[in-house]
Amino acid sequence: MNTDDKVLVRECIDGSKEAYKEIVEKYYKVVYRLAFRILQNSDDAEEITQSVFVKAYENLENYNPNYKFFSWLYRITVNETLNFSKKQSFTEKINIEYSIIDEKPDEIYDRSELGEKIQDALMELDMLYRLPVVLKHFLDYSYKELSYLLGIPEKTVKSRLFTGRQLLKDILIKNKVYK
Amino acid sequence: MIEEKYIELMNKEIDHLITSEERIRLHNYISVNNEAKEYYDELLLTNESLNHIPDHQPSENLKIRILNSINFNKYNVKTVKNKYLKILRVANFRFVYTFAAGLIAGIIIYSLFFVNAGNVNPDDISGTIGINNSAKTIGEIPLNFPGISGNIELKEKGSTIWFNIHSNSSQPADYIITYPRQIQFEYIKPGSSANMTILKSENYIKTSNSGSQEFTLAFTKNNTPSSPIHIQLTQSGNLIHDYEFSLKK
Repeated sequence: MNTDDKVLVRECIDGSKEAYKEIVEKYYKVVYRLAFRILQNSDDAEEITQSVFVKAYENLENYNPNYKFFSWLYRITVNETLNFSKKQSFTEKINIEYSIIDEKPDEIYDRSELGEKIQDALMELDMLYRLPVVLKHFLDYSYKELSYLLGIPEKTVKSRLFTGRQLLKDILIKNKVYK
Repeated sequence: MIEEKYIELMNKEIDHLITSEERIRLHNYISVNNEAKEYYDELLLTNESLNHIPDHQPSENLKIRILNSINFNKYNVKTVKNKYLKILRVANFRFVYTFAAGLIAGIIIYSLFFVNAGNVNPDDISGTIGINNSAKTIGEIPLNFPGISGNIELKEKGSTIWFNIHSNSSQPADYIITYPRQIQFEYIKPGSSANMTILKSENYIKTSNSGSQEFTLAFTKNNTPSSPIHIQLTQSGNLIHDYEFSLKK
């Protein structure tokens, strides 16, 4: 692991606020970006990021220094995202009618951009498959590392990743993003 | 219909985990299977499409909000508890200095004792036969003659030497001690139970007793003696034995 991180964690446990501020400064943007790529919503990503650093601080003593510190942070991010997503799915079902009505014409126009179409397609993908696809693509982690992040066996990582790509491909075709 | 194993190879290629042999197999398969070729192209395009997702930066106050939401008291309490542990853990090197300082202090204290050893108080006669027990025994001679038994013990510390003489005899016995000028006589001290006569002149001491004799002789070496110390045991004017002690500086 990064020796600096190890020292910082140690100092945090010894009561140094400054050390944790340094950790936050170092990683809050990467955690945010990961959360944003999974959730595609800046408010949600910020909420997740905040929650990740609170949880990480409270559990610093449980951190295993055999793993990279940022991998541990990513793992918390993944868990927080999953928990958040479970809560959200219930709320979304209730508000679905309103969200369609609330869309303004200029927003509909902006969303025709390629990037946002792909974002939408990604959001259609079930979280079970979205996570390995996003993590593999943006972090370029090995199957083993993804297995640690997701807390599932390597074989399952591969299976979900391959299925996720196929499903995303089908969604993109269905949404006429290309073809 | 696309065989499952080739779908796996396509994904392995995307993940840069495919071997050259597998790549050849995959591309041979694709080249003769249009459905597989189409699937493969779409999969590559899907993967590439993820690069079009715009990057996003957090709002400027996110860091402050994160820090404000953390209860820093959790480890503050522990800081006090672990104050000493922290010192132990963080500053292990301090022990090296402490150990070194202790070692130096020890050497200084030891040196003081060592220096003092050269200035032994001749009046210090604590010990078995009357001298400082911290002195080193450099010789012990048993006395074993008809009617006489005991021993002569020779001790040394710094420049001081002691002779502890302890003997029992059924008839009166004398000890005649002669010593060179280079040696300074310090004292002769009879043991508490001894009943003896002491006669002293220059470089000569004579002790007489019947029964138990116990006494200590102390000398200080100034220079290398030119001649040895002699302790002669006599009885009724007859020499029983002559002990010669050559002393080194």
